[in-house]
Formats: sequence, structure tokens, C-alpha cells
Amino acid sequence: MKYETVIGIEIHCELKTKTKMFSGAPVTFGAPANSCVNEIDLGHPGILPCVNKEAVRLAVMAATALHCEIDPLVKFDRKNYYYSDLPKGFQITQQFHPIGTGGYVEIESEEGVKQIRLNRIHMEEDTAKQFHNEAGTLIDFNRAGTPLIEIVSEADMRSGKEAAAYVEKLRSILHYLGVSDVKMEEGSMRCDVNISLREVGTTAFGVKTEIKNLNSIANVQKAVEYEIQRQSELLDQGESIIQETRRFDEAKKATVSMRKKEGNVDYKYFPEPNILPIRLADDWIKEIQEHLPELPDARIQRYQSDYGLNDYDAGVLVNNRDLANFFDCVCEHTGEYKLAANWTIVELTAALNKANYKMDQNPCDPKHLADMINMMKAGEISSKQAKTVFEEIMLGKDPKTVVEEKGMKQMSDTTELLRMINEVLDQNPKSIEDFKNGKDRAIGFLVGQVMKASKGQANPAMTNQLIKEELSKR
Amino acid sequence: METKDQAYFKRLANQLMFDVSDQEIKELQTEFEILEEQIKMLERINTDGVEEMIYPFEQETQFLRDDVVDHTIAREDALENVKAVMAGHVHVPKVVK
Repeated sequence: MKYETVIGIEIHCELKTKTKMFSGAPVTFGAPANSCVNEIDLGHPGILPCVNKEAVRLAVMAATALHCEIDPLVKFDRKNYYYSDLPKGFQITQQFHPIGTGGYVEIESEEGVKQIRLNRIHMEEDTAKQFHNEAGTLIDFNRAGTPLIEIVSEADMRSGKEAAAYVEKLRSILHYLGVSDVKMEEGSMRCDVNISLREVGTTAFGVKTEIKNLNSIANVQKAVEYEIQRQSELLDQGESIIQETRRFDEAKKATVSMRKKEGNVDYKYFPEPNILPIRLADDWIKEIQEHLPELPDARIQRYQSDYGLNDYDAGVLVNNRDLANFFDCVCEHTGEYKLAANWTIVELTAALNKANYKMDQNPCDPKHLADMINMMKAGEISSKQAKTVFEEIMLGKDPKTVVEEKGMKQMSDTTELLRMINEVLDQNPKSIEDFKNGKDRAIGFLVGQVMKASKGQANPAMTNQLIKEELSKR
Repeated sequence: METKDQAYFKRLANQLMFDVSDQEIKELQTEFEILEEQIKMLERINTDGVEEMIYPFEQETQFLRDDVVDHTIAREDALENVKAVMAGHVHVPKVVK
């Protein structure tokens, strides 16, 4: 039987604030367990939550960039459940009045650009982090109360590729906005995928399973593709799908059942009485919206229209915000945008990988790279020499100094070059004869001889041209 | 309304991960009878036309807290009342949600 896959995704994203959503305790990843908490995070009696202005600002930024309608009246609700990761016994969230509704994300799909609609974006607090082991469960409350936004999509995705493209696009937008670290491996962005199958041509949703806590974009695609296969086989055998929560086992490359879901859990939501409704000033919202950073799609567009880059180069650069920022800095000092893109994408990335550096450890000064590119373009150094210069730039050196120290400056002095060329021609009468007999390859040999005589310093393009001119005189 | 028999309390206790004795269930049943009576009394109050009140003051505010670290409590204080601590973590029996 032919099935259509229906996928909706919920993404929890930690906001990049200094303090918690409702307390002034610090948000610090990797701090010693239970060292970044205060009474509010631990749910001590008599505490009163106080909403973090920066968290709201970042949520407004995200909602705006994702084309949501902003609700200027911020209200919170309690989601009640009993579990050891939740010290208060309830989570403060925005069940009834999400800060953003509607909106969409555009992804590239096999049919072209596809809009994935969003249902809502709401603010809430994170839970404590739990580590399960043989001895029991260890709880670190440092994460409790960290500001989150939850982004809920409509069930608009139809394949693992689309699901991965959606998460990737969302991750990129949030990263460019600077609202979150979006590090899936560290849990600052967490992804739950709801997936069901239905017979092609039908509209009713099938029974869904939820795959929780996928820690990479690659795993989103793998998990969805596995789940499509698993559900299809069950349905083909006439069996029904059990509504359950599953997780992706990386070693087995399979989803495995965590727990059955018997109906919807009743969280007994009610308005949070300790936080009065907060009216955001229109001016403040407008100011936030008018000062959004450049988003990935706009930057791709700029690279194509202003710098003449192709789709691929623009896409590779924009896919890595830090790399793109570096490229922008290089372009401030050179007009050779295509060369700047090539050196950034190919040579810089390879050098960083080789040194096992991340972009934030990049020792290359963008102005140095731009200077080197300008020297290449001016014929002062050859592209071969540039590779040697670049190695030194990666050690923090100025290319001009490197060229002088290594005596690499390319020979572009016509008189000197002509002297060398004529010497080489005199020593190689056979090559002159070959050229006259139509063997163009002889020129390559002669250029090589001049390069050798000049110890690699002759300007190859100029040498080539001058040899042709001298040959025609003989 | 569901019968508050022994099985009911056993099921609730299990869901909440508590262990209850038969004696405790008896005491709970007595308490619940009283509670139910009180709720019935409340239900008899005529609330027609009375709007629910969520906040002590029915007014909006504009206050948002600046994102500045104020205070944390010392780790030893945070863990002082914890029954079992392991490697700086609160240690509880494993219950996977």
C-alpha cells in the first residue's frame, strides 16, 4: 500500500540570556552541578517568579524572524506534572497566550521552495537535567529555570529530508539572530518529531509516534526514515501503530520504544497567578523588530547580488555564520570576492580542520587574507606562492612580511624577465623549432625553464606572454 | 464520581510513586470524605455571573526584570536538605518518565 508521511516537529531552544527565565541565578553551561541555582529555581516556599526582559526580547526577535504574529500581552500558565526534574511540581509556560502565533519557515524541498507553517512559539522554563545510571538518577538543577522558546510546527513535512531541512533552517535562523547557541549536541536545541502515516489520498491523521530528544540534524533524518519504514511494514502486515514515545538508538540506527501513551496526559493547565499580565510597549516591540540582524536568506541574496557568488558558494558560507562573518571581513579589504570565497571555503576550512580549530579559534586575520589575495591579483605572488604565504598567515603573520622574508616577491620586471627568457631560448633551440612546427606544448616547457631559472619568482602569466612575443621574433 | 475505595488510593499512590499502608489508606479515605463534603458545600454557592479571579489585582503591568545576575545559593546550602547526594547531584531512585 502507498502511504503518505505526516510529520510535525516541536523544538525547544534555550535562549542566550545571562540569567534564568524567572530568577536572577546565572545560566552557565558546564558549571559544577547545582552551583547556579537560587530559591526560585528550586521552588522553595514563598518564591515569586520575575520575568526576564532579555528572554522576552529574544523571543520577540525569534517570533518576528519566523513571521509570527506577536501577542503584546505576555501571560504565563502552569503546566502541572509530578516528576523529579521539576522542583515546583509545575512548569511555567505559555499554554493559552503564546508570544507568537502562525508564521512559517521556508525550506528547499524536492518540489522547490516549501513553506512549513508554524502553529506557535511560546516561552517557558527548562527543567533540571537528569542523568540515569545503574545507581539511580542524578539531578542537576542548574538547568532548571533556563529560558526556553518552544517552536511548534504544523504537520506539514512529508519526508525525513524535509524534516531535516526544517530543523537545519530553523537552527540557522536562530543562530543568525543570536537568540540561542542552538547546539543540539549540548542540548541547547532539542527536537521532538511526531510522525504518522496515512493512505495516499486520505486526509485523516494516522496514529502517531513521537521521537524524542534527537541530538543532531542527521539523526532527525535517519530516525524519521527508520520510523517510516517501521510503520509501513506494520501497516502492510495489517497491524496497527501504537501511540508511543520512542527514542533514536544511534548504535542500532533504529527507533526504540520508551513508553506507551495512553491518551493525552492532563496537565491541568491554569493561569500562573504569581505573574500579572505584562503589556509590552509597542515602541519596544517595534525597536526590536527594526533591528533584527541579517538573516541567512537575506545574506545568501546579498552574496549573490553584491559579490556575484554562485548558489553553492553563497550557501556553503551562509551555512556557517562564523565563516560567513569572516568572509564579510575579508571582503571589506578586497574587491576579489570570488577569490575571497574560494580561499575562505577551501583553504581556510582545510587549515582549520587540519589544526583541529573551530572558527572561534581561527588565527587568520581577515585583512591579511585580503592583502594576500590583492597581491595575487596584482601579480606580485603566484597562486602557488600564495599557498606558502597562507600557511604563514595562519600563524598570524602579515603576508607582506612573509613575502619579503622569504624573498618570494614575484618577478614582474619586464627587462629582467626578458633577459632570462632570451637566455632560456638560446639554450633551447629544439623547443623553438618545435614551436615553429606547431607544437604549442613547447611553450609550457620554456615557461617551466624560466620559472626554474627565476627560482619560481617569475610571474607565470607575464612569462608566458613574453615567451610568445620573443618566439615570434625568432 | 469515582469510588474512593482501597484500589483507587493504591492506584493513585502508585502513580505518585508513594508506598501506602492499609492504615494510611483508611486515614486518607476519611480525609477525602470530609474534603468531598466541603466541595459539595462550595458547589452549592451560586456563582452565576461571577467572573473567575486569577490575579490579586486585575491590572496589567509593564515590569520586566533586567537580565542581571543577582544571587545564587551556595551549593552546600542548596543540597543541605537532600537525602542523598552523589558527585554534587541530588540522587534519587531511577524513574524514567
